[in-house]
Amino acid sequence: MNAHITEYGHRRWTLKLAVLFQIGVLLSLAVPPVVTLHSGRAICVETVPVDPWNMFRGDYIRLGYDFGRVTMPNNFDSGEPVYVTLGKDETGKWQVVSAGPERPAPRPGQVVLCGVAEYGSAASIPVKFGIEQVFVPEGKGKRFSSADRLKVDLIVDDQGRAVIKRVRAGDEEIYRLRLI
Amino acid sequence: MANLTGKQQLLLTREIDRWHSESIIDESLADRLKSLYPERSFSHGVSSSLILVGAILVGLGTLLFIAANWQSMTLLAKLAVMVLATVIANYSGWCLRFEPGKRPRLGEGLLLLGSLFYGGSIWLIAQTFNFDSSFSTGLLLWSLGTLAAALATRLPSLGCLTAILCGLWAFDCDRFGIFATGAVEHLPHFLIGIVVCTGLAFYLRSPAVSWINMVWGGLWLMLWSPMHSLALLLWGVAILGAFLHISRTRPIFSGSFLYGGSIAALGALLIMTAGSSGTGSSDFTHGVFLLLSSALVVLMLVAVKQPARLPELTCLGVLVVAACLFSVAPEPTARLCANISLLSLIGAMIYTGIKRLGSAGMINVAIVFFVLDIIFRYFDFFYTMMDRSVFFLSGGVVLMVAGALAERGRRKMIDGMAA
Repeated sequence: MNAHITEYGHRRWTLKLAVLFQIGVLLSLAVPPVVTLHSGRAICVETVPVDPWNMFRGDYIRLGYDFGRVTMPNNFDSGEPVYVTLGKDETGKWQVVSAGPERPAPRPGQVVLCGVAEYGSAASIPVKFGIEQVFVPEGKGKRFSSADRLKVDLIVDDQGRAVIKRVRAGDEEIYRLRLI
Repeated sequence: MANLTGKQQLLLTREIDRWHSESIIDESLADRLKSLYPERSFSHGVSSSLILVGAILVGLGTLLFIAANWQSMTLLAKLAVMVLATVIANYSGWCLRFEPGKRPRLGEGLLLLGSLFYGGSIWLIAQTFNFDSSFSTGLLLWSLGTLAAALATRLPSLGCLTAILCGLWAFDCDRFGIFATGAVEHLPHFLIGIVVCTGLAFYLRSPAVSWINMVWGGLWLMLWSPMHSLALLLWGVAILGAFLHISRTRPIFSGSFLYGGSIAALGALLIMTAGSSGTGSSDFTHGVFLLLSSALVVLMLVAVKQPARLPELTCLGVLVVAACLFSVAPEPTARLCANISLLSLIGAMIYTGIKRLGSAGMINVAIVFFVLDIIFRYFDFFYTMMDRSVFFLSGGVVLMVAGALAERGRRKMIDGMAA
């Protein structure tokens, strides 16, 4: 009987640890973007959508940004970090100012995005920033085609991490991140 | 006293009642006979299945709810619901499963549901923050959390979920469409998944986990590796070799190892009779070297532990070396050698099953593959040579005769074994 109670108590503790581990994983996924949303700077960029679907997560629109492909001074291995500095041009659009392997100090009016290089030549390297897709309510993603231009509000923090805050198609809001 | 299955026990009880009603035995003898085989509760299997299926349906419903991306709730509200659901399902599952006098099957279902809720929470967070569709990272985190719960509770259902998730992670679904190009990149996933799931199967003493492990491991090698059917053959032979040891030391796993290994090895040879198993690329050569070495190491280790099984292990060793050699031969030669190897393995399994191991399962699998081989060869040789109706008519007759002969032969062999 005592052995049973000891075994029971041991298992209860290990299950508590397992559940704590699970909650820890969930928090480690959720906390960094929340911090970015609170501490980052807002910018608005244009993008082109396509409309795939994910089994576990439903409708999503894949977003193609102008700054998602940059020119680099040297050859670059995929998986290496790339820092892309964006600044507003005379029309008010956010455009690439520079791109490189080192993090630059942004000037006033500029933001620096941190991404990861993918396979490509130095002349044109695709870069992923983790903002290449947005999940929308079921059935909404298929309405958009690559002919549509969407406006995406991003929040970018000091580390160059970006989170999608809002996506609009013309005047229609198709996605908005609401924390609380 | 024989350990009867539920169906056998029910049949025996009915027969004893019939003998009693026909006055073949008296009441006291009937009671004594029945007491030798106490009644088992048949509702347990049904209730367990219903509860587990119910838990899976609730979990799937949760995932679909998340996939619908209902935007009326804020992130914090959705997250709070999911985390609370995970904690409550685990807590109530724990109380019902492990505290005496409660409902252990419902508790097991709730613990499984807790791990499904946990997985749902991962996808919810990924969806909310529009994480990159890196499918495998989510699966890895989900399988780690489920593994922790399985180790803590020692429940086979959680072990099965972990094995399925590990398998999906090893396949890396994002790139599922590009077969045979990601073998080297994903080999660490495969090795980690196999080692973890095998360890988990032994820790939980669960043949079900072992089965899932073998199925996804074999599929991975067949679909992902550049050697395809040759990789499956080496995998099957390694498992068959391990069976010769496991059947002595851990009999609970002997079924999964015997059937998993023999189906993989015979199936691979059957596929190889239809054509080439791969190419002569460097990936192919490296893969063959790696898998052949692994299979031979397994066979040698078993030979050290079970010297009485040396003849079987030597045959398996010769088979894998021969298969590696003929797989790079021109296609007609390779197909001929695959046919000879398949028939030799079938013959060896029938002989070993009857004379050395006394294993009806081994004989059954060998006979099934013999019949499959006849069907394959029939299609190979006669499909284009005869009128279609004659083809199907004569094929049907051949199969029926072969089936009857196989059944008679198998019965004779099994009767001989029993005698």
